[in-house]
Amino acid sequence: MPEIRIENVTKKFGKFVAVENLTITIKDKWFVTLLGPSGCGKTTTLRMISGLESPTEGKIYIDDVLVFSAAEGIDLPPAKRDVGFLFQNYALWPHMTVSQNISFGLENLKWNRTDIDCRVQDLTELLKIDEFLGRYPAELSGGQQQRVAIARTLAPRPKVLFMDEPLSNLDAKLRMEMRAELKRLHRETNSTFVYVTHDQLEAMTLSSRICLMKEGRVQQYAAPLDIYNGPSNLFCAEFVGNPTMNFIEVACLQTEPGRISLTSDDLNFTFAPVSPQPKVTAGQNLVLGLRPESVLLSEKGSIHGTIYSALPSGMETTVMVKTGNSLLTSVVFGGQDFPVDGWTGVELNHDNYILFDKSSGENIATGTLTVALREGGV
Amino acid sequence: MNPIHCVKGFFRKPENVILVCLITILVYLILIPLFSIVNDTFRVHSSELMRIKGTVAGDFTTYHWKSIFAGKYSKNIFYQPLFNTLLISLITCFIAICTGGGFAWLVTRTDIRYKKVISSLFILPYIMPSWTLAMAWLNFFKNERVGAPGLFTVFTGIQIADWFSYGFFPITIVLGLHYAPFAYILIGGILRNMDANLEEAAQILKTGRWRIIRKITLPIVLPAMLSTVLLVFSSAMSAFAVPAFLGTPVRFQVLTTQLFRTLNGTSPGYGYLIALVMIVIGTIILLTNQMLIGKRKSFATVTGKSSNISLVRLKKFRTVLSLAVLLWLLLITIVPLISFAVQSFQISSGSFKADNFTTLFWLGEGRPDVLSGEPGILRNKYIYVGLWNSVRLSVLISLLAGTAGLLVGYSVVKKRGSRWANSLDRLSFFPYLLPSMAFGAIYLSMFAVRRGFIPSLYGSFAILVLIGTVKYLPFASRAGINAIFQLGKEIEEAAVIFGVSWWKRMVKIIIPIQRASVLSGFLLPFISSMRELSLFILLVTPSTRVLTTMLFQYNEKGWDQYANAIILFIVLVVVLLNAVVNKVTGASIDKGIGD
Repeated sequence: MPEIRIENVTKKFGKFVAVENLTITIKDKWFVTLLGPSGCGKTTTLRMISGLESPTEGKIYIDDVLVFSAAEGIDLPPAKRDVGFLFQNYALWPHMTVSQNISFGLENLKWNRTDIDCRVQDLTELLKIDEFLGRYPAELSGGQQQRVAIARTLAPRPKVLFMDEPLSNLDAKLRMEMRAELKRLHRETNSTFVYVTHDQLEAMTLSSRICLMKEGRVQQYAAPLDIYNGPSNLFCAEFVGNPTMNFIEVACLQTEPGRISLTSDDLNFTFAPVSPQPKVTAGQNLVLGLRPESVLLSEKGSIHGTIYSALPSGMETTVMVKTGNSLLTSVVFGGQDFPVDGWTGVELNHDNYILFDKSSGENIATGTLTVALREGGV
Repeated sequence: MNPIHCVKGFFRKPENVILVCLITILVYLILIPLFSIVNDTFRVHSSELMRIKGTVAGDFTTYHWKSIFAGKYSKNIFYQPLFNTLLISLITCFIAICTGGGFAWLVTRTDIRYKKVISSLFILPYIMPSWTLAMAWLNFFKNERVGAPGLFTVFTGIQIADWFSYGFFPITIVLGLHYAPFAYILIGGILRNMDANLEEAAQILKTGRWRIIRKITLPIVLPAMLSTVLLVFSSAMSAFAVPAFLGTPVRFQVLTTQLFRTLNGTSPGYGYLIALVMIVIGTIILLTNQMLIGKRKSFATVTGKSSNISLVRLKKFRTVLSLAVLLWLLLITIVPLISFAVQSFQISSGSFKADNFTTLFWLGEGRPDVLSGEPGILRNKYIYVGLWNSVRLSVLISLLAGTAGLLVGYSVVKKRGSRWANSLDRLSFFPYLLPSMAFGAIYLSMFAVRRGFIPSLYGSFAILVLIGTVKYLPFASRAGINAIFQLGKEIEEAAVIFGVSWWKRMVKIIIPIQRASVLSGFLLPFISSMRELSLFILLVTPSTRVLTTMLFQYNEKGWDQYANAIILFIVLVVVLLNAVVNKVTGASIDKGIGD
């Protein structure tokens, strides 16, 4: 079964290090997303696995076959790796019709004509493009081109499918639809998907595993919800989730078992870890991370603030609250609006607040918070 | 709204004024001369009175048509040269596309070395006058048919057969090499902009290297290749100097040499008719090109991550091939120039004895025993007159054509899609398809007498300026259209909102932003007219001679040393100027290919 193993892969373009010492394993039938800001090396990684680019160092196995090894001088061409690749701009051949585009790969495999026609028929029906078989790509809309590209990639039944930001050229509505279809396709084709995107929502909703990258290095490789709830560092915490997590810079006042006292510009907190007790020393600089949905607006709230802005979308409302010198983002579910500059209380009664070390950015603990007003504070 | 206001409103917009003015002028300078030449094919000219009995000059006659197409000598006067022309153009296309396209592929798609050097060297034959290579060929391969043998025979002692020295074979080779850079620029541009993902997608689907080239790359560059074929074909068809130099010794005639003979001789009626035939062929080519471009499959290249092009590894051939390519390029660019330089210092060409070297042809005061006592070119006042005329002419043409091209670009882009804009677009491109010599013939016929407000211009400097401007307008207007089109209309509209006048918008905003494109619109006409021969050769008189026509005359007289010195001179001026402008502004005709 196709399992992809990438071991200590490094890719340099001249002096620029695009990917550094990457080691991940992609299990059979997983839907793995390489996620990160532009220039983080995710597309390069995908192109290296598919064979379009050669790594500078390291080894790559697909289905236990060593397809690349810098040390042994092995570099199988893409054609021998038995993979499919979906390009960002679709890369449909402009001089071929839809059906010629789809059957081209099958002709290379020397399928007979009836089988090819049959396969083209099945795929175009599945992707709802059967009425465009005789058209040229320039005569199709973006969404239709996208489907043709998918059909062309799927035609030879590749065991592994690579996709490089395939939805980024579509409009928002079509993107939603295609996401759902990609997820269905993943189930129906029973193959392994490796997907590149910079859209964290796409990564969250589609994947079984996310590989979050930054500047050529893996930051975290885990299931989407694990990353959401337990980001391994500040970068992951900030990159995943929309609206972004709230960050409050704090310093440790004192620490005792089950309790850490923290102080910010104008608030005092008591942090009680639900995870193992971290090693923190008094005076250490830390960052508190609060997901917007865990910041509650309530009359009883112990922190006082004013509404800075309210953005109701119907399903939920994103509210920014000004407390002292800091702005906190909160998400309130249901169609509610808030008067700008109105008064509100803020309550922090969840147990998923995260404590990061400021200098290393590492996640050191998860726990509950109690807020104590400071003398002369808000 | 009443019609007067309508008209006033129309002319309040500068682009409309420009449009109407330019169309009027171009109709006068391009379309009306066409009618004039048709008319001339039906008239008796004074030098033909002997043959067309019982007529006076100006009478209506079908004599020319009958004798060209169905006369006793039709085969020699017309059909054989026509056949030669078509065959030469066809083979030239083949050579140009194969070498130009092959080099473009090597530079854009493989890891060949010295790409930058290859690219700039390869462009040289196109910047140099086309007869540079023809003269170099003669220097190397001429046989005893025309005096002293060429360098090849001098060094090896092997006699060269006529077919190798003169006529069809060398003409196609030389023209093919001259137009190869043209194919290189066009095809290379497409290859460079072509989305590499298109080829990678095929690679992933297990397509072999050759099948990718055959099924993906070639079909996608095919439209560009067809355009190149058509443009090279029409250029090769109108080439005059190369067949004149290489064909004359064996009486190998093509349409242009026939045109020159008949118009300069006693049968201008034949000449005008031959010119008309060439114009018709040129027009058919333009129409074919437009039909091919407007097809259903759109080849618009989607811009992808082309920076990711994975280059074909030449592996063990890399160094060998790179060196071979480099050597070959030096052979067709630098070696000819060196041969010109060396020969211009030799009293009798081909002898390398010390006493055979002289600076006579550069600095001498003229010795009565050598070449009629003509002084060396650096002391020869006729050369300076020719040089001054060439430079003056090229500067004027470049200024006029460049400005007109910019205005064409402005009004065509502004009024994009309207019928008037399309007409102007086509009209300004039309001179490209008129073979230079035929175009010269037209102006000869049109402006030999007073026409409307334009006095008789024959023999004047103005007619050279006029014809050069119109002939090179296509280059300038392409550059102008590109410049304005890339800019987009918002930039100008932002200034319109502030009430900035049209003149200021052009001078302060549009031209500075697009100065590289704008400058190349001025540069191309300059370089082209510096090295132009066939356009001017029918129109110059002793007082308006330019360097190229003097070169042609020296060559006809067999004064090779002078000819060699002049050609070296022209090449240096043109190449240096191109380099300087390129350095200073980034504008250049070889822009866009080869990093």
